[in-house]
Amino acid sequence: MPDRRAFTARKSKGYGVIMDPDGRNVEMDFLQCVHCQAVWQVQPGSGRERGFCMRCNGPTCGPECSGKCVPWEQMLKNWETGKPDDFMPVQAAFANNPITKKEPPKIWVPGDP
Amino acid sequence: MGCRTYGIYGSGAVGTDKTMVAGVSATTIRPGVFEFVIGCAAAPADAASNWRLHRFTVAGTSGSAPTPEPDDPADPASLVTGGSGVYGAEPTYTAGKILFQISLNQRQSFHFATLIEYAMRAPATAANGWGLKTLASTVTTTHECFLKWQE
Repeated sequence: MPDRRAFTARKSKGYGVIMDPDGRNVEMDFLQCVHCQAVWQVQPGSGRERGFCMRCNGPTCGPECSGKCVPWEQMLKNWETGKPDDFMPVQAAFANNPITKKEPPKIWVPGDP
Repeated sequence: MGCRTYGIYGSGAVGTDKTMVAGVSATTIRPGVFEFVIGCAAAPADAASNWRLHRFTVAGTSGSAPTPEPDDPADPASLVTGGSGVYGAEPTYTAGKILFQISLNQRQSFHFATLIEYAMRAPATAANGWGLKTLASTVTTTHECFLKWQE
Protein backbone atom coordinates (compact mmCIF):
# COMPACT_ATOMS: atom_id res chain seq x y z
CA MET A 1 0.00 0.00 0.00
CA PRO A 2 1.69 3.27 -1.05
CA ASP A 3 2.34 5.73 1.72
CA ARG A 4 0.99 9.16 0.75
CA ARG A 5 2.55 11.18 3.50
CA ALA A 6 3.26 14.77 2.54
CA PHE A 7 6.98 14.79 3.31
CA THR A 8 8.81 11.63 2.50
CA ALA A 9 12.45 12.55 1.88
CA ARG A 10 14.97 14.03 4.28
CA LYS A 11 17.01 15.60 1.49
CA SER A 12 14.50 16.15 -1.26
CA LYS A 13 15.57 17.70 -4.55
CA GLY A 14 12.20 19.13 -5.44
CA TYR A 15 8.74 19.90 -4.20
CA GLY A 16 5.43 19.46 -5.95
CA VAL A 17 1.86 20.12 -5.04
CA ILE A 18 -1.36 19.05 -6.74
CA MET A 19 -4.11 21.54 -6.06
CA ASP A 20 -7.60 20.09 -6.09
CA PRO A 21 -10.65 22.31 -6.60
CA ASP A 22 -12.06 21.05 -3.31
CA GLY A 23 -9.19 22.75 -1.51
CA ARG A 24 -7.29 19.59 -0.69
CA ASN A 25 -3.64 19.92 -1.63
CA VAL A 26 -1.49 16.86 -2.22
CA GLU A 27 2.13 17.66 -1.44
CA MET A 28 5.00 15.50 -2.56
CA ASP A 29 8.75 15.39 -2.36
CA PHE A 30 10.95 14.58 -5.31
CA LEU A 31 14.36 13.02 -5.62
CA GLN A 32 16.65 13.55 -8.59
CA CYS A 33 18.79 11.05 -10.47
CA VAL A 34 22.47 11.95 -10.27
CA HIS A 35 23.05 10.46 -13.73
CA CYS A 36 20.17 11.71 -15.91
CA GLN A 37 18.64 14.50 -13.78
CA ALA A 38 15.17 12.98 -13.92
CA VAL A 39 13.00 13.70 -10.88
CA TRP A 40 10.45 11.38 -9.32
CA GLN A 41 7.96 11.48 -6.52
CA VAL A 42 9.12 9.80 -3.35
CA GLN A 43 6.48 7.22 -2.59
CA PRO A 44 7.41 4.59 -0.04
CA GLY A 45 5.93 1.23 -0.93
CA SER A 46 5.45 2.06 -4.61
CA GLY A 47 7.46 -0.99 -5.58
CA ARG A 48 9.57 0.95 -8.07
CA GLU A 49 13.21 -0.09 -8.14
CA ARG A 50 15.59 2.80 -7.59
CA GLY A 51 19.32 2.85 -7.00
CA PHE A 52 22.13 4.71 -5.32
CA CYS A 53 25.47 5.63 -6.91
CA MET A 54 28.28 5.30 -4.39
CA ARG A 55 30.56 7.37 -6.63
CA CYS A 56 28.19 10.32 -7.06
CA ASN A 57 26.76 9.81 -3.58
CA GLY A 58 23.19 10.20 -4.74
CA PRO A 59 20.11 8.31 -5.90
CA THR A 60 19.55 6.97 -9.41
CA CYS A 61 16.17 6.74 -11.05
CA GLY A 62 16.17 3.06 -11.94
CA PRO A 63 18.03 0.12 -13.40
CA GLU A 64 18.75 2.05 -16.63
CA CYS A 65 20.82 4.60 -14.72
CA SER A 66 22.30 2.26 -12.14
CA GLY A 67 24.88 0.63 -14.41
CA LYS A 68 27.90 2.64 -15.49
CA CYS A 69 28.43 5.84 -13.54
CA VAL A 70 28.24 8.84 -15.85
CA PRO A 71 27.48 11.98 -13.84
CA TRP A 72 25.04 14.35 -15.46
CA GLU A 73 27.73 16.99 -16.05
CA GLN A 74 29.68 14.44 -18.08
CA MET A 75 26.50 13.39 -19.87
CA LEU A 76 25.86 16.96 -21.00
CA LYS A 77 29.48 17.24 -22.12
CA ASN A 78 29.13 14.02 -24.10
CA TRP A 79 26.07 15.37 -25.91
CA GLU A 80 27.77 18.67 -26.62
CA THR A 81 30.85 16.98 -28.08
CA GLY A 82 29.03 14.23 -29.94
CA LYS A 83 30.37 11.40 -27.81
CA PRO A 84 28.35 8.34 -26.74
CA ASP A 85 26.07 8.84 -23.76
CA ASP A 86 28.12 6.52 -21.55
CA PHE A 87 31.55 7.94 -22.44
CA MET A 88 33.79 8.58 -19.44
CA PRO A 89 37.32 9.94 -19.83
CA VAL A 90 40.05 7.77 -18.40
CA GLN A 91 41.88 9.39 -15.53
CA ALA A 92 45.10 7.95 -14.15
CA ALA A 93 47.83 9.11 -11.83
CA PHE A 94 51.48 7.96 -11.86
CA ALA A 95 53.30 8.47 -8.62
CA ASN A 96 56.83 8.68 -10.12
CA ASN A 97 56.04 10.33 -13.41
CA PRO A 98 59.25 12.32 -14.20
CA ILE A 99 57.30 14.82 -16.28
CA THR A 100 54.98 15.84 -13.51
CA LYS A 101 57.38 15.19 -10.67
CA LYS A 102 58.02 18.44 -8.91
CA GLU A 103 61.36 19.63 -7.59
CA PRO A 104 61.42 20.17 -3.84
CA PRO A 105 60.97 23.82 -2.97
CA LYS A 106 64.22 25.77 -2.69
CA ILE A 107 64.57 27.94 0.37
CA TRP A 108 66.86 30.88 0.00
CA VAL A 109 68.89 31.82 3.02
CA PRO A 110 71.04 34.92 3.38
CA GLY A 111 74.52 34.27 2.10
CA ASP A 112 73.51 31.82 -0.61
CA PRO A 113 74.23 32.80 -4.21
CA MET B 1 27.68 33.64 -14.90
CA GLY B 2 24.96 35.37 -13.03
CA CYS B 3 21.74 33.76 -11.95
CA ARG B 4 19.38 34.95 -14.64
CA THR B 5 15.94 33.42 -14.56
CA TYR B 6 13.25 33.57 -17.20
CA GLY B 7 9.78 32.22 -17.76
CA ILE B 8 7.37 31.57 -20.59
CA TYR B 9 3.69 30.84 -20.70
CA GLY B 10 2.23 28.45 -23.21
CA SER B 11 -1.08 26.81 -23.91
CA GLY B 12 -2.53 24.30 -26.26
CA ALA B 13 -4.95 21.46 -26.76
CA VAL B 14 -3.84 18.33 -24.97
CA GLY B 15 -3.77 15.00 -26.73
CA THR B 16 -1.39 12.31 -27.85
CA ASP B 17 2.16 13.67 -27.99
CA LYS B 18 1.20 17.34 -27.88
CA THR B 19 3.82 19.84 -26.77
CA MET B 20 2.42 22.67 -24.67
CA VAL B 21 5.54 24.69 -24.07
CA ALA B 22 9.21 24.18 -24.85
CA GLY B 23 12.58 25.83 -24.38
CA VAL B 24 15.33 25.52 -26.96
CA SER B 25 18.90 25.86 -25.72
CA ALA B 26 21.76 27.78 -27.33
CA THR B 27 25.40 26.93 -27.89
CA THR B 28 26.64 29.29 -25.19
CA ILE B 29 24.52 28.27 -22.20
CA ARG B 30 23.22 25.28 -20.28
CA PRO B 31 19.76 26.39 -19.22
CA GLY B 32 18.04 24.52 -16.43
CA VAL B 33 14.35 24.15 -15.65
CA PHE B 34 13.63 24.69 -11.98
CA GLU B 35 9.90 25.39 -11.89
CA PHE B 36 6.77 24.73 -13.88
CA VAL B 37 3.02 24.92 -13.47
CA ILE B 38 0.30 22.94 -15.24
CA GLY B 39 -3.36 23.92 -15.16
CA CYS B 40 -6.56 24.20 -17.10
CA ALA B 41 -8.82 27.25 -17.31
CA ALA B 42 -11.66 25.46 -19.09
CA ALA B 43 -14.91 24.48 -17.41
CA PRO B 44 -14.19 21.82 -14.79
CA ALA B 45 -14.59 18.32 -16.14
CA ASP B 46 -13.36 14.89 -15.29
CA ALA B 47 -10.61 14.15 -17.76
CA ALA B 48 -7.11 12.79 -17.40
CA SER B 49 -3.85 13.75 -19.05
CA ASN B 50 -0.41 12.27 -18.73
CA TRP B 51 2.27 14.95 -18.65
CA ARG B 52 5.96 14.72 -19.32
CA LEU B 53 8.95 16.98 -19.23
CA HIS B 54 11.09 15.45 -21.93
CA ARG B 55 14.43 16.20 -23.57
CA PHE B 56 14.55 16.74 -27.31
CA THR B 57 17.31 17.05 -29.89
CA VAL B 58 15.32 18.63 -32.71
CA ALA B 59 13.23 21.65 -31.80
CA GLY B 60 10.38 21.09 -34.27
CA THR B 61 8.15 23.87 -35.59
CA SER B 62 6.21 25.67 -32.90
CA GLY B 63 2.96 27.49 -33.54
CA SER B 64 4.19 30.54 -31.68
CA ALA B 65 7.41 31.72 -30.11
CA PRO B 66 6.63 33.41 -26.78
CA THR B 67 9.29 35.84 -25.65
CA PRO B 68 10.87 34.66 -22.39
CA GLU B 69 10.24 37.16 -19.62
CA PRO B 70 13.16 37.83 -17.26
CA ASP B 71 12.40 37.79 -13.54
CA ASP B 72 14.71 40.77 -13.16
CA PRO B 73 13.74 43.49 -15.65
CA ALA B 74 17.39 44.57 -15.80
CA ASP B 75 18.48 41.21 -17.21
CA PRO B 76 19.26 40.87 -20.90
CA ALA B 77 17.02 38.95 -23.24
CA SER B 78 17.04 35.20 -22.80
CA LEU B 79 19.23 33.09 -25.04
CA VAL B 80 16.66 30.30 -24.85
CA THR B 81 14.04 30.28 -27.58
CA GLY B 82 10.51 29.61 -26.37
CA GLY B 83 7.99 27.52 -28.23
CA SER B 84 4.27 27.05 -27.78
CA GLY B 85 0.97 26.83 -29.64
CA VAL B 86 0.01 24.27 -32.23
CA TYR B 87 3.17 22.60 -33.41
CA GLY B 88 3.51 22.05 -37.16
CA ALA B 89 6.17 19.47 -36.41
CA GLU B 90 6.60 18.15 -32.91
CA PRO B 91 10.10 18.23 -31.40
CA THR B 92 12.06 15.01 -31.73
CA TYR B 93 12.07 13.75 -28.16
CA THR B 94 14.88 11.44 -27.08
CA ALA B 95 13.65 8.03 -26.02
CA GLY B 96 14.27 7.41 -22.36
CA LYS B 97 15.29 10.99 -21.55
CA ILE B 98 12.18 11.75 -19.52
CA LEU B 99 12.84 14.26 -16.79
CA PHE B 100 9.45 14.23 -15.14
CA GLN B 101 6.10 12.51 -15.52
CA ILE B 102 2.72 12.84 -13.83
CA SER B 103 -0.92 12.12 -14.59
CA LEU B 104 -3.41 14.80 -13.65
CA ASN B 105 -7.14 15.33 -13.64
CA GLN B 106 -8.32 18.37 -15.57
CA ARG B 107 -9.71 19.83 -12.34
CA GLN B 108 -6.28 19.79 -10.75
CA SER B 109 -3.34 22.14 -11.04
CA PHE B 110 0.22 21.08 -10.49
CA HIS B 111 3.20 23.12 -9.37
CA PHE B 112 6.77 21.83 -9.29
CA ALA B 113 9.70 23.75 -7.90
CA THR B 114 13.27 22.99 -7.02
CA LEU B 115 16.42 24.85 -6.16
CA ILE B 116 18.44 26.22 -9.06
CA GLU B 117 21.36 23.90 -8.30
CA TYR B 118 19.06 20.95 -8.97
CA ALA B 119 17.61 22.43 -12.16
CA MET B 120 17.28 20.03 -15.08
CA ARG B 121 19.91 21.20 -17.54
CA ALA B 122 19.84 21.15 -21.30
CA PRO B 123 23.17 20.84 -23.16
CA ALA B 124 24.78 23.86 -24.80
CA THR B 125 23.78 22.55 -28.19
CA ALA B 126 21.54 24.22 -30.74
CA ALA B 127 18.03 22.79 -31.15
CA ASN B 128 18.35 20.78 -27.92
CA GLY B 129 16.09 21.52 -25.00
CA TRP B 130 13.09 20.39 -23.00
CA GLY B 131 9.41 20.31 -23.75
CA LEU B 132 6.42 20.03 -21.45
CA LYS B 133 3.99 17.82 -23.30
CA THR B 134 1.07 15.46 -22.91
CA LEU B 135 1.78 11.88 -23.77
CA ALA B 136 -1.90 10.98 -23.77
CA SER B 137 -5.20 12.53 -22.79
CA THR B 138 -8.87 11.63 -22.70
CA VAL B 139 -9.86 15.06 -24.03
CA THR B 140 -8.55 17.80 -26.31
CA THR B 141 -9.24 20.69 -23.95
CA THR B 142 -6.82 23.60 -23.92
CA HIS B 143 -4.46 23.54 -20.95
CA GLU B 144 -2.06 26.20 -19.73
CA CYS B 145 1.56 25.78 -18.68
CA PHE B 146 4.25 27.99 -17.26
CA LEU B 147 7.93 27.09 -17.48
CA LYS B 148 10.83 28.76 -15.67
CA TRP B 149 14.52 28.24 -16.16
CA GLN B 150 17.89 29.64 -15.22
CA GLU B 151 20.66 30.34 -17.68
